[in-house]
Amino acid sequence: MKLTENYSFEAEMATGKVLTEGGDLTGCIRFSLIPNIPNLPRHDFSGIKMERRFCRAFHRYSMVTQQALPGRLTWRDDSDIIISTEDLSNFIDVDSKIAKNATGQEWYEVEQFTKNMIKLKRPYSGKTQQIGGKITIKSKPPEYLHCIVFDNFRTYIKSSDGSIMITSKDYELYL
Amino acid sequence: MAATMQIHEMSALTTGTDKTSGTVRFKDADNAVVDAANPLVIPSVGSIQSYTKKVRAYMEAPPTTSVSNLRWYSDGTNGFGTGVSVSAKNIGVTWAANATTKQVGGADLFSYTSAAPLDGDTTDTGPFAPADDDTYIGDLIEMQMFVYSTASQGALTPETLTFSYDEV
Repeated sequence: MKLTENYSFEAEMATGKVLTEGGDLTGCIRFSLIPNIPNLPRHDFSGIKMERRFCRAFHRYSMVTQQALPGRLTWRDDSDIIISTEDLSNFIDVDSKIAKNATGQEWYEVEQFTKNMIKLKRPYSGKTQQIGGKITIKSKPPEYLHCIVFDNFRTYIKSSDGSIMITSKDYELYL
Repeated sequence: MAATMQIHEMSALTTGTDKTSGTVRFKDADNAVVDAANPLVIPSVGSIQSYTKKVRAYMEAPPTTSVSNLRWYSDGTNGFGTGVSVSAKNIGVTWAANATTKQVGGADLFSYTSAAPLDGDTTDTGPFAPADDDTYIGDLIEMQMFVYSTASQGALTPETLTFSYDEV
């Protein structure tokens, strides 16, 4: 499920009408942010004057090609498993691309990983050796905030974990 | 339905390569290919510049109502190390070919932070409607890397550019 789909909302107006889209909350008497997946908290607001709502999305864009990995990796011909001498969990993401640390090497997509083991989506083909590796960049994850602007303050709620931040009414939050 | 926005690395005003959650490599060539070719070579004196890189937002799927408030920023800390910097500026919607000519009027990319982001829709202003689906929206953001003689050889620590927008 996309991050943007983790929550949907209901805005119950004084007229009794319930809105599920749009940004104007004038006349809203209840606003509910409803999780679409388990383990996310629901948020309900009522008894407070509301003005508007919007969402703020964040995309990340890496500005160098790749990063050398610490330690040495054991590459075995026709194997989809790479063993590392170092903990690489802070460097790797599923779908990252990894290659031997030399120019012109073939890139392989990561299917899963533990601290010292990487499973590739397809077997490595080449010389069996222990050598350094390089990985495509792991950037900060995207985020999607739901913002509700009230009469005297605003709230930002993260789609990723449902955590909430309350700010002054005109505070623009950028992550 | 939420909009789907992409970040494109541009080769013309309305032509680009999707780099959402991807990578741009500053290099001594005018292409968006992420490879080890055409590296920036540290000069013995002074500095050299990469080819400029331009990025722009692309509406891949429309929002319910509108998209607005396009912003670009860094983490505020130049992790590229001594002797390497990146300049950035909003160039509106006037295309100029990418070149190694030194960028004029740009500011340090790392001066654009979450507290003071670079405005990305000053010329092509929002809000952008569902009718803008499958088009480029907002302004071109041009960046250029500078490498000085004081730089150290080797791979750089990665840096991340953040693109944000509001939608209703």
